[in-house]
Amino acid sequence: MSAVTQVRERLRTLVFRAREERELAEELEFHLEMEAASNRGRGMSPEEARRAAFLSFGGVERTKEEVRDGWGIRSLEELAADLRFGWRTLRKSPSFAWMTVLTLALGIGANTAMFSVVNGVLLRPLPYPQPDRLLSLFPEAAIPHGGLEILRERSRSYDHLAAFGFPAAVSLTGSGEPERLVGMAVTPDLFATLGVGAEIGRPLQPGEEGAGRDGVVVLSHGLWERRFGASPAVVGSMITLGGVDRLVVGVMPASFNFPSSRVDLWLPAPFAPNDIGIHWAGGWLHPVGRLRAGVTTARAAAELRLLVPAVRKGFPWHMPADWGADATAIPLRDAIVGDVRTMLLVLLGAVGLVLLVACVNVGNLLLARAATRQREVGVRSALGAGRGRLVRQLLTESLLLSSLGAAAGLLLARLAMPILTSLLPADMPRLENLGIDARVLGFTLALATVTGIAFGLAPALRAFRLDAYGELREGGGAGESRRRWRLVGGLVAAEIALAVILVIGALLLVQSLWHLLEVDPGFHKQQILSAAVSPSEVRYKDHVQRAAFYEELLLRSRVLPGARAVAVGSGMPFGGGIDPSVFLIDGRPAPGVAGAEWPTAEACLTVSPEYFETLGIPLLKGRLFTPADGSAAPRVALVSRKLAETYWPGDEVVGKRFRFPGSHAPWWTIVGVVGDVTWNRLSLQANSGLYLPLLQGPIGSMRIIVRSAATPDALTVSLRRTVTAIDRSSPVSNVRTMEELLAASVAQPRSIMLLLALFAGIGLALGAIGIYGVITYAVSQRTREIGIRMALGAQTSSVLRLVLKQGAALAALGIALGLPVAVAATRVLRSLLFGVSATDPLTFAAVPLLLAAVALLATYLPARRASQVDPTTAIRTE
Amino acid sequence: MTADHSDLLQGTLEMLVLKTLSFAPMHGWGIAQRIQQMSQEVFQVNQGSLYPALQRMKGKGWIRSDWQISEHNRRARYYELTAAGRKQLATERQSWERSSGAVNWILNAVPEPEAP
Repeated sequence: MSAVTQVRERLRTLVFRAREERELAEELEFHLEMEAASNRGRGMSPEEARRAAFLSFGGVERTKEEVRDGWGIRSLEELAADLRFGWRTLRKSPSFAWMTVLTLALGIGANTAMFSVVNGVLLRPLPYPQPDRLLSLFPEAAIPHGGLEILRERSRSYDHLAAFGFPAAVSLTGSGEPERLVGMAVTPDLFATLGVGAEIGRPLQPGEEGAGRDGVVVLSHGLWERRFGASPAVVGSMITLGGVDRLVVGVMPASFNFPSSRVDLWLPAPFAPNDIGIHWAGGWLHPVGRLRAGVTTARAAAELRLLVPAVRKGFPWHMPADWGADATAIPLRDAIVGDVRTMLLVLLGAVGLVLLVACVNVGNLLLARAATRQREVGVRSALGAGRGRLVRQLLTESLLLSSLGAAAGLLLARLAMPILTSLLPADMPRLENLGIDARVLGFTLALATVTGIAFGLAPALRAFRLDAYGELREGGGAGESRRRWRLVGGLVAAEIALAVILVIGALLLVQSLWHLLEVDPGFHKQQILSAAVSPSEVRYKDHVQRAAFYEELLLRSRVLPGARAVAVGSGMPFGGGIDPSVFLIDGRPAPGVAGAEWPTAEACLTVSPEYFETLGIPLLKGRLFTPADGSAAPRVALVSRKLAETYWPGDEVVGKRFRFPGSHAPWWTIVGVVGDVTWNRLSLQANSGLYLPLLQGPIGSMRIIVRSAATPDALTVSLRRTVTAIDRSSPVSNVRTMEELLAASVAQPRSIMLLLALFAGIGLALGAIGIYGVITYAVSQRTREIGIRMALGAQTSSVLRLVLKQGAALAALGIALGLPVAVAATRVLRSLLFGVSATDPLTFAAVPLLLAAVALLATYLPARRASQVDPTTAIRTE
Repeated sequence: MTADHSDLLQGTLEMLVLKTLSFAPMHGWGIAQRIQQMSQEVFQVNQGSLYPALQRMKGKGWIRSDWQISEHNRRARYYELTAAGRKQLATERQSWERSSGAVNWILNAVPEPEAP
C-alpha cells in the first residue's frame, strides 16, 4: 500500500464526506435489515427481530464513529479546531500577538528581502534556453580574436563558441542631441549561442563580420524606446555611430541584458585575420560557449587547459610562459555575477542571525505566556488530552503565529525592496532581476515552518513534563520556576551572543570603510567636476584637428563659473581611461625573450599642462608641461615617483629617455617627476603613471576636468553650452563630481557596511527588548520575595543590585558565548575588509562593553521598578 | 457478547474477512454470517466491529468496495479482494500456521521426566 494511495483515499473521504456519511448509514441500515429479516425467518415477530438485530450489532453510533476514525480526517478536523482555538487565544491577548507577529515579520521580512536579492542575482537562471549549458571561458581574462579562432578550430566541447568584448563608449550623432552610448562588440554568432531572437527585426547573424559586412547594429529595448520612440521603422534605417553609418537590423527584447543592463547596443567585433594588430592585439574578447550534449563543465575546463599552449603559441610574438595558466571555464552566470557572491552570502548569513534573534525573542514570549497558561493546560490534560495532543496544539499555535509573521514579513519585504535595492551598489550585476517569485515564496514558507517549530518547541516540550495535578494545585512549584528560568536565561544569553557577532561584524566593516575613505589618493577630492567630451569623428578626423578641438575647449572653459583650473586628460583617477603601456628604456636592451618583463606604466595618459594643478598632483622634481611642448617641439614626458623609483632606482631620472615599441617610434625625454595617484581602487596601492603632453600624445575621447567652487549643476549646464558652441555633434557625457566617482568606487563596501549595520541594529534592538522582557518577567515572578526582603529591611540599592546582577550574569554568559563564535564568523569577512584585521582587538574589546551597557540599561528599568515595590502590596499579591 | 465466546482479535478478524472474500465479493452482513459459519459459532463477531475493520482494510488497499444490487434486489455495498489483499491473505495464513503450529507443538509436548 503506497503512501500516495493512502493520501488519495483520505483526501477523497474528506471531499466526499457527506456522501460517505450517507453511504455508511445506508450500509449499516442494510445490515440491520438483513439481520432482522433472518431473525424473522427464524420465527421472531418483526419488532423482536429488529431489536435482536440491534443487540447483536452493538452500538450503531459507536460503530459509525470507529469507521469515521478510519477515514483519517479526524487529524484534519483536529487541526482546524486547534487553529480556531489558537486564533481565539491570540485575539484574547492582542499585545502578545502583535509583539510576536511584528518581531517575526521583521526577521522573516528581512530574510525574504535579502533572499530575493540572492535569488535574483545568484540563483535565477540566465534568461536563455538551457542556461546551464552556457559557459564562460577565461572568465578572469580575455583573449584576442585570433585566440578565439584557435579555440573554435580545436575545441570539441561546444555546439557554439562565441565571444563578447568590453563595453565601450560610442557616440551616436545625426538627428537629435549627440549622445554617448555603451556599445558591446560581440561575435555575430553570440545571439545564436545564447539562443535569443530579436523583438523586431533580427539579431546579428553568423557571417556578419569582417570589412564590408559588419556595418550593422542591434539596439537594446531601452535605447529603442528612449531614443527612437519605440518606432518599428528604425529597423532598416541607418544611424551614425562613432562617425560610421550602420544599418539597424533589429531591436532586442527588454529581457535581454547581455552582459549587463548598461549596454545600449551590440556591434560586430572587428574581424580582420590578416591584420595582426586587430587579430591579435585589438579588441580582446570573453568567449562564451554552449556545451555540446553530454559534455560536462569539468571536461570543457580540462580541454581548455590543454588548448591554452596552442593559443599562446598562436600569438605572432612571444607570450610569457605562464600566460593563460589560470584559464578555466565556469558557468556563464557565475562569470556575470562575479565577486558579489561573498558579499551577498555574508549579508544573507547576517540576516539569518537576525532571524535567530527574533526566534529567541518569540520563544521567550511564548515561554512567559506558557507560565500564565499552565492552568489551562493542566485542565485540558486532566480532562484527558494526551500529551501528544497537547504538544500538537501548542505547535499549531506557534505555526499559526509564524505564518502570520511570514505573511506580514512578505508584505514588509515587498515594501522594503526599493530601499534594499537603493542600498545595493548600482553596478551590481542582474539587479534588474529582483522580485518575489515562487522560489522566494517557498523560502518564506520554509522559514515560517522552521521558525514556528523552532520557537514553539521549547514551550511544547515543556508540556511533556506536565503534571496535571501539580499544575492545577499550585501553578508550578519552585523547582519548576527555576527550571524555566534556566531555559529563558539561556535563550537570552544566546540572543546576546548573536548580537555580539552581528555588531562586531558591522563595526569591522564601518572601520574598513572609514579607512578606505581616509586613504590619500594623491589628488584633490573636492570641487572637481569632470565630463567626457568626444569630438565628432566626422569633423575631427586626425590628431591635429582633435588637439585643436581640445585647445579651443580649454580656452573657452577658463571662463566657466568659478573655474580655478581647467584641464583635459585621456583618463583620470576613478573616471576611466586608465590604460597601461609598455615602453623601452634608452640604453637598455629590448626584452625579446619569452618571460622577460617589459617596463610597464600602470597608467599612460595624454594630458594638458594644467592637469596636475587642476587635480592637485604635486610636482616633485623637474618641470611640468608648458604650452611650448607643441607638436613640433622635442617629445617630453612626466613620470610618477613610483615609476621613477621602479625603473631608475637611485638615479637622476630627469633627462632620461624612453620610447614605445615600434620600429620608428621616437624617443621621449623625461622632464619631471610628479606624485603617485591611486587610479581606480582606494584599497589598492598608488599606481605608477606616465604622462604625455596634449599636443604630442595620442588623442581619442578625453575628459575635461574643472576645479570650481560653483555648483555641479550650474557647471554642467555651462559646460554643455560651451561644447555645443564649438561643435553641435560632439557629445558631453558622464558628468561626475570627484566625490561621486569616489563614492561609486566604494559603493560595494559601503552598501555591505550599511546593510550589515542595519541588520546589527535590528539584532541589537531585538536583543535589548528580549533582555528587558525577560528581566521584567523575572521581577514580576519575584515581586513577593522582593517585598519580603524589603519588609525585612533590605535597602532600595540592594534590591536594585540584586536584579542588575541577574541581568549582568546573562550578559556575561552571552558575551562569553558570542566572542569565540564571532572570531570564527568574521573570518568570512576577511576579503571584504581594508585596513582592519578580522580579529581587530579593539573591536573585540569594545563590542562586549557596548553589549554589556545595553544589557544593563535594559535591566535597569525593571530593576528600578522592583526597588520601588511597596512591601505590603507585594506580599499580598498572589 | 457472551462470556464464553472468545473475543475476536483484530488481526484474526481481518484474516477471516480476507478468507471470506477470497471466495467471492460479499456485503458486510454476508461477511458476518459467513465468518460465524466458518468459525462454527465459536467466535462471535460483534457485528458492529466488522465495519471499522472493513474501513481499515480498505485504507490499507487490501479490499475495495462498490455498490451493487444484492440477491434480494437491494442496493448493498460489496467488498472484494485486491491483488494486495490476496498477497496479504497468503502471508497471514503462513504466519498463522507457523504460530498456531508452534502453539500446538507446545500444547502437545510430552512433559520431560522431572529430575530426581
